[in-house]
Amino acid sequence: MRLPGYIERLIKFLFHQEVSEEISGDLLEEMEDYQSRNSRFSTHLHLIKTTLLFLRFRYTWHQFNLKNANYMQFNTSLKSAWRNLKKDKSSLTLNAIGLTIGFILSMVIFLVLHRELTFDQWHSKSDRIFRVTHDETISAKSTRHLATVGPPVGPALKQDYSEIENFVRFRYTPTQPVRHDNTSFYENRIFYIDSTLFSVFDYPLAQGNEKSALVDPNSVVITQDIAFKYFGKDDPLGKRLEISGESYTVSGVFAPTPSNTHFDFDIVMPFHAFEVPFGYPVTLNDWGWISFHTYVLLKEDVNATIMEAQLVDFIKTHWPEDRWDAFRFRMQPLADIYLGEVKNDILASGNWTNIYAFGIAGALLLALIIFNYTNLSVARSLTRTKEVGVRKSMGAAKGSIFMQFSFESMILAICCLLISTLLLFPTINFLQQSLGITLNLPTWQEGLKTLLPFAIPFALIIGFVAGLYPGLVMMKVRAVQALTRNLSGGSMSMSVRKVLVTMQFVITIALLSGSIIIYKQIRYMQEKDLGFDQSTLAVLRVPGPTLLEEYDVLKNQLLEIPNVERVSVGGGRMDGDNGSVPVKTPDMEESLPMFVEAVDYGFYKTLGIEMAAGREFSKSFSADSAGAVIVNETAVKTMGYTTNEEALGKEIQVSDIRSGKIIGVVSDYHFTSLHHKIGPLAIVYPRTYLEDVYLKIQPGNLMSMVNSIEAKWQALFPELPFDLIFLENHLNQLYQSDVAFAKLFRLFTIVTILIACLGLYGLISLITTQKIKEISMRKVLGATLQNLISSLFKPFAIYIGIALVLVSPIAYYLLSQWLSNYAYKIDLGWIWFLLAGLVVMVTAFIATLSHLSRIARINPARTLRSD
Amino acid sequence: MKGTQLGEFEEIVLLAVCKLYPDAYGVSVKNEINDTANRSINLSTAHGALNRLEEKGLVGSEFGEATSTRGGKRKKMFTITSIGLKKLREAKELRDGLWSQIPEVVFDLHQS
Repeated sequence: MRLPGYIERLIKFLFHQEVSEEISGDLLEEMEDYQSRNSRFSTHLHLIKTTLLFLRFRYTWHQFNLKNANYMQFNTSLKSAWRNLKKDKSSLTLNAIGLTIGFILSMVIFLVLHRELTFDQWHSKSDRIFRVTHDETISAKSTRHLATVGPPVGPALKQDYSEIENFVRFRYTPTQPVRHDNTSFYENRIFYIDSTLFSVFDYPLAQGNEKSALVDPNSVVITQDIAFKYFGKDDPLGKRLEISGESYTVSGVFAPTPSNTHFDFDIVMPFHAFEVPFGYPVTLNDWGWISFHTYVLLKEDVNATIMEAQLVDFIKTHWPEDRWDAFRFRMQPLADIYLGEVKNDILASGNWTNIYAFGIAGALLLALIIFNYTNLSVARSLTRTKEVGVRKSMGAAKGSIFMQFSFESMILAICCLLISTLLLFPTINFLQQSLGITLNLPTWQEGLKTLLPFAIPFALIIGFVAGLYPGLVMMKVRAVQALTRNLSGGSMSMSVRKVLVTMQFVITIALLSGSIIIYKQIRYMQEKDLGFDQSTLAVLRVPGPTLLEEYDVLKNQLLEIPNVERVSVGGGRMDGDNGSVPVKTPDMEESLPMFVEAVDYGFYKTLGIEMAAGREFSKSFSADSAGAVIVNETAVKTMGYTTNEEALGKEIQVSDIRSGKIIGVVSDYHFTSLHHKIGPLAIVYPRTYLEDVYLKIQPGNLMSMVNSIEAKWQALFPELPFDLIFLENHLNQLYQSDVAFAKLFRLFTIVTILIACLGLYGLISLITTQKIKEISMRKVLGATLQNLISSLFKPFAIYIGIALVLVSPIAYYLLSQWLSNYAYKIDLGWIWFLLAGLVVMVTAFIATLSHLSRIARINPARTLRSD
Repeated sequence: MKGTQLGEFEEIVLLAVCKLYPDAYGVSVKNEINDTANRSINLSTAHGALNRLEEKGLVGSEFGEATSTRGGKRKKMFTITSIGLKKLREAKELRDGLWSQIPEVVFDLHQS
């Protein structure tokens, strides 16, 4: 008779050989006995149960543990790791603080990068959604990449190609006044969208029916924020909302969706309710009205590249032959839009440069933590040579010594990871509030879900790598030497430490100089002369139709206010919201794209911009409103004229908007953000609605001025929201993301300097402890405090110098890459790298000052007595 | 030292080891207890108790000869040690002492 095979294997697996013989023997007897009285099945069951029950006794565990030497070693390692960590509290604290701060910031960087890189990917069909873009690189001089196409393109694509399951068109509208009862605001994220929005994208409705929400032309679907803004806690469904004076019924409310989408809307109206705006010479069947964001959903298993190639035939079907080679349609995958090259001011777009900058900063930060950690542990392990000596003479293998050190630092890393995970989200909140930036990070549940799969292995690796070097050093220590002499770890460990310290300074200086340059660049952009004085300008928003009728009344009323010097009307807010159209003069071979702007009489006088030649639009020339064009100086050069005067009086054709004579050349001014160079600009007298009234104001009591403007406004237009902005504030907003980036980067820099100082502090404290006898001797022999400090700090000063020389060229290269993204940039001077080096030097000195001052108080009699 | 006092189960196991001498091992102890005390303990319970007693030094053990009946596996034979015997005796004396001091009336209380 034998035991069943699986029971024998189970016993072999679970128990040590010594007990397994006894157990299996007894079990066999038990089985024979039991079998005679029970069925086969219950015998098996009984055997399994009994075998497993053997486990519950301490003696079996004890034997079991004995069998697993690994477990035992794990146990002792854990114990000794804990004791060692506890023993040296100050260096433990330094290490833990450094690691925790580093982890928190790396996680913040990770979350920021993760958000940037996964834009729009939360749509369940995101891999099948493509944006149709218009690519006009083919003709020789005119290069245009547009994110939009004409309104008939979407429907025609669906009709012509069975591969296309559906399409959605988005039409942007300018800022409009929205009102419900007495609540009124201007809203600028209002779109006309096809009702297929719901079937192509993942925009579920929290309230309302997806099938019918966008059917009635008088219905709108709004976000929950808008619902709360206008209706408070009331049920928004069926409520009336007045947009630009027209009444609409709320037919649905969007459920909240992730914020990382390139297309963010507040109010959606049915696409078929869209009407051609006043003064536009086009219809909705116009293939050339390239202003509609169009998305297509491909059927499953359709190859987008093949589909894109077919679009050449599509052009041939719908365009006259002379346009066939003029442009191409591209299919841009949804996930690529945010970071893609086709930019559009209406849409959010990301920036690879900032992603790289953050990535590099994060990598440097991590490297710094590892260096710092390694350095501190090497220094600390030198005080543990005796322990290693004892272990070795007791027969510890090299590998187990090595494992012990790695293990210790892995434990610390995991503990710090836990702490930093707990602190992460409070820290993010604190950062956002204190820096005044929005990181748009996910909630903590989602955040942790994305973080932890990366963070845990990562912490283990960091712990392992940081423990690697001390482990290697200690592994090589000879037991006899360690026990008989006071080892300092040998020259090898010293040189590695020097390299590590230098690397730390390299990283610190790199980040600091980067931070300085980034700060200078942002300041430069905010302070650059734009060609007009933005601090003396205010812009009042008036809806187009109202302005057309009431402008003269409004202007006279405004001019009565003492602080208001001049009033004029412009076509935008100097924030780059200009279209670009082909412009041609008889002297040019072919038309060139130019930005177009519409301004009222006396606009440039109001803004204080000089005319370089000629004059601006004037009421006294009646022909100005129909046949006059002003251009800027860049446009003069683009058109090929050598002087401004030469351009005057020339015929000019500004697309089909206006044709006439150039009556003036305006000095270049920045009509868009400083991210872009001043482009050629053609200025015409308004043909469509304008809504920005510019006020030239005199310094003085601005509060009372705003109050009196508002009072006049309430008297004139009680129905309309009052929206007055100071141009300076508005233009600063254009650099919001740059400022947020700079602030975040500065924070990283401060933290890295802090960590480096912590490391330095720990290192110097160890060195002073180790060298205390040497210092005492020097003191006895008459060294001054100055001598002592310089002998201690000098090596560090040298490392900083070496680091500065090493890092400057690399940092210079990277920063000039970063700056090349800006059209207007500062000069990259070497002086800033020197400054960064100096700051690091001084900070390092301050960080070590407390230890250096301890030297002064050493009583040689006490320290030297023991030998 | 823990376990200076014998537990009830331990006492029974010890008594069984004594009774079965020289043939006390896991299965025989288990069977003895199940038969005489009318309990139903698991084999592993007997093993646990025997090993605990051995740890305390109340029983000693040695492997017996390998026989063909158990698939060639040796038995681990337990014998009581002098300390074990002393403990047993102490426990018995404690009880006997208490028994002898019970007044006769107590037995009269529950005559019927």
